[in-house]
Amino acid sequence: MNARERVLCALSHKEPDRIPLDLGAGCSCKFTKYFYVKLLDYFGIKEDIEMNHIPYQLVNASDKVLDLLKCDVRSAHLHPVPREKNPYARSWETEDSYYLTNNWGVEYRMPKHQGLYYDLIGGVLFDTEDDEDDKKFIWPIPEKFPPADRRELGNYRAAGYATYVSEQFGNGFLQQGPLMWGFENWFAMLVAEPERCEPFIEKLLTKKIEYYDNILEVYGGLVDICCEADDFGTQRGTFISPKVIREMILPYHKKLNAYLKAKGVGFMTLHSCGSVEAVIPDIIEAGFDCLNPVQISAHNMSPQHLKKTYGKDIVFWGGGINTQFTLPNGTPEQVREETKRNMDLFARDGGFVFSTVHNVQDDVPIENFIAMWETFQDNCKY
Amino acid sequence: MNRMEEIRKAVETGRRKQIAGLIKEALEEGCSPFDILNYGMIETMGLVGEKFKTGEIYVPEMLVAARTMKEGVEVIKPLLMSGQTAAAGKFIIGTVEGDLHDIGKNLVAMMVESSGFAVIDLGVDVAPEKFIAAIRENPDCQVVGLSALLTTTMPSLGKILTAVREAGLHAQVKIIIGGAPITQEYADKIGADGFAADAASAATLVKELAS
Ligand code: B12
Repeated sequence: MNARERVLCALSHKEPDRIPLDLGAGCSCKFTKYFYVKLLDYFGIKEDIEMNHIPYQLVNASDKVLDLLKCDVRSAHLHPVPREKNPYARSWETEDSYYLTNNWGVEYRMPKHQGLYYDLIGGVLFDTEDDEDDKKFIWPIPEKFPPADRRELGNYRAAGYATYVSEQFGNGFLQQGPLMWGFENWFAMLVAEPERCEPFIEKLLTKKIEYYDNILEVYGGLVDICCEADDFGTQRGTFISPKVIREMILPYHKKLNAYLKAKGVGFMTLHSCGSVEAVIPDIIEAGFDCLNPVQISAHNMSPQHLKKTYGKDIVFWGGGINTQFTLPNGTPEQVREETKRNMDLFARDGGFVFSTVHNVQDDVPIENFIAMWETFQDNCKY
Repeated sequence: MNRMEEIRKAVETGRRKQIAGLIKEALEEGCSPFDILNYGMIETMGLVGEKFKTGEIYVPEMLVAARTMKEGVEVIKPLLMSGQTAAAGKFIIGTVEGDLHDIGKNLVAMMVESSGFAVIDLGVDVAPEKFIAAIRENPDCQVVGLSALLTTTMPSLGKILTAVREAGLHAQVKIIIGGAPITQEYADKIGADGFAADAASAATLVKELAS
């Protein structure tokens, strides 16, 4: 079985030869820069680091590293070509900080001294009062991609890896609004003035479709897995009521999923942090095949419960180790014990791709990461 | 429904645009500003916090209720007699250095404020020196709240506690902590004075520690 067959088998809820592994490729399965430096040191590799996401300081792990880790998934390295100059996008620096504003007019800042991430500091719609103000927003135009990039993903396919497009056009239908209006304004609008949110969500869908059209223009027929990211959960439950998620948000995901599947994308993943248990049936109903990052430390998200209740209908892509406690702060022994336990709980009947719960952050000791990886390798055979 | 009940309902369901009008009507009908504040709004907000804690309502419902109350307080405040405006105490809060998560921190600030405290919100990505400076500038502050949502920024909690001790300020203020990865056990480990898992419990804790 090659890597791709292994992943596709697991995604079809059957047991492959071993549990597939995704570290460094899929959405929110990546490494932060300073952790990646530790990993390169560990392997004794020198390379130029290619950044994947500046605000969160994530990298594109190299093929060399992914091969050493025996990962089954490869993601396309997108090189967006802007079609017009975006009126908001810029970056600058002051004596003590780096700043950037993205295509959505969202502003970030990272301190030069010991900054681990960029902090969100503002956005063009933060102070808007009504839909007249909202209309002044200038929507970003989905970028095109260089046709020559098709070769890279084609090579991954030919080499037998599962292929993944892990970047999205903005955040999901629930979580893009907060970045632009501010979290509190948006959440208050959702319940008090839903008529202000709906046109935005609607338009986001058409823009996302345009974006994926551009992606598939280059990569058509080569994409096994795509991912949309929409955080529905907090540590204790959903951000907003399951009813509102069900009625105002998931119908748009459903349309997008149907569109992409019709265009030949194999499987759709939803990245949704926190405790999302209350809406898993609805996520399944919306046509998602996989759930990520499977935040097992959040309320009602224990591997036992998830596997037993939803394991037949959704693939758990993540949930391999708790990144809120064990991976950064446990002992290597605790890491081994938990990794083994989670694998035992999730693996049966396929439907599981091993990954950490969310990106591996700077604070993870290399010993713990290696303890996790070795435990995985020692126990991954079915 | 009498006017006072309507005020309570408006706060509970977050009908921000109605609150000022309802308060004016209640005042004309003879309700005292003090009762409108305490019974009409503070008590209602306490109930809203409890419902959030038990998962009956969610972040948006809590936000619109708090915003409605805030607007109501603006109307009522100038009408209260000086003795009645005295805050229950003073609370400083901020998200620690390197961390931008502020939804939970803001809900805590709102609940503590709704329970009658003066709240100074230092925002996100707050360096230890800034907490120290704020404590020095506010000698009447009894409790300081630190929020951290990331394992990478949790160590800042301990650093700030040490800085407060070293500055000789720990006799003056109590330090409480919270955020998704934080537990009572962690609070005990670093010697914080308290922990709360949600905004309503945080307000209760602040009240306890301030008295
Ligand atoms: C929303 C969110 C974001 C938003 C934040 C927006 C904002 N303005 O706050 C965005 C998208 C910007 C974001 C960014 C990042 N995030 Co984030 N985020 C979340 C998410 C989904 C929800 C957090 C939230 O708002 N909850 C809702 C509120 C109401 O709950 P709360 O914060 O827990 O607060 C309650 C209590 O904890 C308590 N409380 C809170 N503070 C205090 C303080 C005191 C004194 C007291 C007493 C009580 C108290 O009361 C509150 C109200 O009841 C969590 C998932 C999770 N499990 O929590 C991830 C999460 C926290 N994020 C995570 C990560 C990794 C990041 C990033 C690094 C990105 C990345 N992809 O790699 C960046 C960090 C950037 C930075 N500089 O900080 C990880 C952290 C993992 C770890 N190792 O610790 C989490 C856990 C996701 C996950 N599945 O792993 N994130």
